[in-house]
Amino acid sequence: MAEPHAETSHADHDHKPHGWRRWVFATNHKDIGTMYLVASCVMFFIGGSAAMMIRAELFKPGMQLVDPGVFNSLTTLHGLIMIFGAIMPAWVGLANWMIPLQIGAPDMALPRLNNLSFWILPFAFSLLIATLFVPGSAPAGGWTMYPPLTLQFGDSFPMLIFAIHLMGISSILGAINVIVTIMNMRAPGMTLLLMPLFVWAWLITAFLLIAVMPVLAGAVTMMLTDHFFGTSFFNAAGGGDPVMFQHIFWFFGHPEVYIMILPAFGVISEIIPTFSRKPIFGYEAMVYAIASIAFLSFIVWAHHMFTVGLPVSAQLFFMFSTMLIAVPTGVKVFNWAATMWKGSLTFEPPMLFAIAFLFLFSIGGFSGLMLALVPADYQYHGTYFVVAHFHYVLVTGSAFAIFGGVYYWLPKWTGRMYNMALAKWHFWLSTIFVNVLFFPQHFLGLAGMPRRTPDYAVQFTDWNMVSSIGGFAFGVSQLLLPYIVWRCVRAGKPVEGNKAWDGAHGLEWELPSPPPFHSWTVPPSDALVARGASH
Amino acid sequence: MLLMRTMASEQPITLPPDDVERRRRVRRTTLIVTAVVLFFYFGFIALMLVRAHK
Repeated sequence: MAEPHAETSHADHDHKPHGWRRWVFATNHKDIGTMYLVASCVMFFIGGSAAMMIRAELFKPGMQLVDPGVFNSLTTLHGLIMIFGAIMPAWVGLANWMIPLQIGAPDMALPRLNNLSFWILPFAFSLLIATLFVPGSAPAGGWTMYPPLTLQFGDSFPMLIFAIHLMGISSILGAINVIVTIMNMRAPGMTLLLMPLFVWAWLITAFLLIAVMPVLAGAVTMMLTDHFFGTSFFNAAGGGDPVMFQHIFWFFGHPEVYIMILPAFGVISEIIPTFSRKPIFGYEAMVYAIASIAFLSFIVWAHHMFTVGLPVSAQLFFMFSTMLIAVPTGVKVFNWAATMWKGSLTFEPPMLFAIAFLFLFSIGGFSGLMLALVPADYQYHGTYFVVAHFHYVLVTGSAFAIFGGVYYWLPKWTGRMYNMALAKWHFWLSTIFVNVLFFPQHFLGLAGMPRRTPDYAVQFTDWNMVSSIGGFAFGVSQLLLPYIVWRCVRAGKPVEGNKAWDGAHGLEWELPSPPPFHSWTVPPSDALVARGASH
Repeated sequence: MLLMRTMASEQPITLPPDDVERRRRVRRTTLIVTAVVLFFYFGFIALMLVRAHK
């Protein structure tokens, strides 16, 4: 079955556009995926620079480098850039690259929409970053944009709202494309329960996106009308309710966390079976667990705001529903462990990142359970404990899974193998220093250090210094990633055969490395689909 | 192959029946999902407006 494909690949190489037009007018899923990943990397380093400045300011008590207003802008922009600019576009990039290859489709279903989804992003982030240079300070009310604080910023306020709208539109268009592609473009014979888990994870993520991004858009639109058109949705003086914004925001915000972590579950579910040389343990249970987590994400939002004065019945409901999420998450973690059990394990960089994900994401999960307890949350709320928790989820969870995914599929994308030793250095430096960076923040939070503060009491000095040193080292070690990718593209050793990893299964590994510009122009046969679905 | 060529060149080509059907399904799914998005967006603002007028 590989023959007709190889044959068409040569013919299709001729249709590849060249020069800047290839990228500006890109409709090819691989090109758009690459652009998303490059843009995400750029935003990761811009957001990372903000993080380095934050950690430099917090290295010791007192004010060192920036004034408090700038510090608050840095934390706000760091959050927005990392969430909407780094993590989400990285997942969309991986989706663009891998979904058509994994389901045997020639491209995404809506290629021009795909181009639009991507090209909205540079405008959105230019607008967001430009807020640093307008009168009246950049947004400094935190990424959550709570009113009335966020309503008080000057010229940057409408820019922030417009940037959020653009990011939301980009995400929604991307999600529509993913759903339409998966529902309609699968190879004949590929039933839903034969799909790779990365595709499943993305299908569910896309449904989350179309459900909650409009809610965020609605919330910021209401804030815009409060600011410019005299409405009082969130203005207590006019009969509105600022706490309502928190409810609406977190109705978006909690599923947003899962939008960032569910594709990570998909990637880990691809990597672990490959390097364990065993099929995934409990494929269907994994699918149902992802769906359950997605469903539960809609009914837990108020655990972010236990301290606003909710009725006890509401606190109990949200506490128990939050704790319930541990059940499907536990199913996943145990299934990954069971997949490795008695497997023929090897520890290449993707597997190292996957194993680190298992341990460190679980730490983030456990601290999440602690935060779910209402009485305990009254102690932890608004402290560095929360900062530690969500960084374990988003850095050692999402970002580590992205690193793992890139190291897993890079040989497929480029047809070349990267420098394994350097990639292992990247792994070990990242894993050691991410813990030096974030683990002490648990202690700081438990001791009562508030988040979003440029100064602190002297008893917090030691752990802040340790955390900052970890932050600088973690940040610098990330420079290895673009270097490794660049070296791989320029001078990596060519991969022999279709499979870069001997334990790999899936339709993407039935294609040559790198895959032709137009792949799966002839749909894969039923036999190939069945062989790809190793479960 | 045929699908990709049509996308790239915009030339009218007579599509085989299964491709026509696939395009119809793509269009239908896109419209349904877009309708859901618009429902969430405007529905949510409408809900808030109703609440604001209480």
